[in-house]
Amino acid sequence: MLAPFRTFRALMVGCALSVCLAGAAGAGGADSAVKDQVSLYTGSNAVGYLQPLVNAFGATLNSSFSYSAYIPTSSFHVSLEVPVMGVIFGDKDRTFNATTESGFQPSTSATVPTVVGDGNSVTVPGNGGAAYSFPGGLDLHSFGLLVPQLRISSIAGTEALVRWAAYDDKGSDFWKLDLFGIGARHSISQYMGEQPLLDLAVGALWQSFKVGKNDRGGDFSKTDALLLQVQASKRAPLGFMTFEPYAGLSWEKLSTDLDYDDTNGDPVHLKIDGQNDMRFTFGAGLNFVAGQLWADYSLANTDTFSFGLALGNVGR
Amino acid sequence: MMKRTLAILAVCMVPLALSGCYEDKVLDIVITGETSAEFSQNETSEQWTNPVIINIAQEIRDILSRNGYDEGDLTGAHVTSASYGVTSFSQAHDWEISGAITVTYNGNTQAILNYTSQSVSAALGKKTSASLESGGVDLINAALQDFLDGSDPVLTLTINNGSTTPAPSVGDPMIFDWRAWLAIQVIVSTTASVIDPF
Repeated sequence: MLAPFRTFRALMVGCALSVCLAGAAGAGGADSAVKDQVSLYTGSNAVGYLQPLVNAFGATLNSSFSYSAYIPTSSFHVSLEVPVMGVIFGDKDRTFNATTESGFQPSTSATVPTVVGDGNSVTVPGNGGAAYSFPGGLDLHSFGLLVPQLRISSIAGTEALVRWAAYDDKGSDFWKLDLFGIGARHSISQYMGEQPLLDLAVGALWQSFKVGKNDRGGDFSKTDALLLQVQASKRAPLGFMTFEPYAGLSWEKLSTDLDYDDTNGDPVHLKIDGQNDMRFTFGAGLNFVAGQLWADYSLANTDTFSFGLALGNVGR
Repeated sequence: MMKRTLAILAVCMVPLALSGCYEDKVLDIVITGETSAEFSQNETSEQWTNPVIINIAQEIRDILSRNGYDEGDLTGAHVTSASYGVTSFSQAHDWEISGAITVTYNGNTQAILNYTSQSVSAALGKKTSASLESGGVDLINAALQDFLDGSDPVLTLTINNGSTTPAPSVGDPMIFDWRAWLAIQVIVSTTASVIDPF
């Protein structure tokens, strides 16, 4: 028992360190920079500015729910998993069409950077020599999310998954993380005879992710995500391991509420929906008794890739 | 043994991989701040003037300070818009006024906005955007540039009312308070450490 305990404890430390590192990155200025940039915008401009990040956030958050459709009918399995989920931003994510605010005359539209776009501001001329500047972005090429998750199975061919991470930098006026997710999957192939052609499972995952603090001490961003999935996979022996290609079709929904003060100190509340709805995922895993490695790619409005390591008695 | 090896890898590699993903990004942050001048009118004639002094340097310092920046971060500043509105008016009948708000800086005076046949009651509680005049904008932008160059510019905003209908008198004075707002954008350059992992 001692070795597995050490293993899990070590992984917990690894995950905690990762979250802390993310926090340190936030304290480096990206967090307050985003908040400052968003503060200039209200309404559709704020939505356009943040949409690529919300899309990436939602697409990654809804990834790595499962890497195998095989769920035993009845036995005890537990694994601690570290999925890494990523999005590479394309050119279309880097700009959006914004309109001047703050009573600027004449009202002027321009193609300007999103939050992941170029760092330089864009300035348009107005009446009488006035000018209006749109802020720059963080010049991001990619977005990644690392979320620790615990998987436990199985009762009647059903498994549960929990995602959790929390971090609160009391010294920062912004940085706070609070993620909780819970999901369940059920084996359909257990009803398809002794030797089904494929393993088949359905599942649902719900997550809530709060990031940051606003000037009033509330949540800067609160995201709710829901994923419904049908997945098929097939295990094949490969030396001392098994090789398992898999594919899945998912419906997903993500909504982010932003609560902040604009540059005049007036409170702004925004709701931004992620643009992903359906996704097709394909990938493969290597199962090696004490764990599993997997990698997959999801085709959707915002494409995503993920890979990860599961440690536990998932060799089944 | 394999479990332990994988665990060590996970503990060491994940944070190291993430720490290697940090990149310093330089970006322009735009902050829109407003400065305003309050005018109280108690007039018995059609034409009147009313000056208010604005310490534009201090206003910009306040805008920067409210957002956690200082003058060293500043790379640009410009006038974005101007507006006006009546904040207090309770007389029995309305007035229509026409005139200009001028700005004076370094001995030069230019109109920043004109108002024509403006109903006092119609402007009550509103913030009416005005079309800016280039002479006044240039003068304020010059003051902003002087601030960027290290000076402490002070502006004088003056209402120069040309006509009032009906004409006020000692027996029927025109009494109201109003405010002119000047929106200024300041651009600061900042460096943010972000995770750009792939």
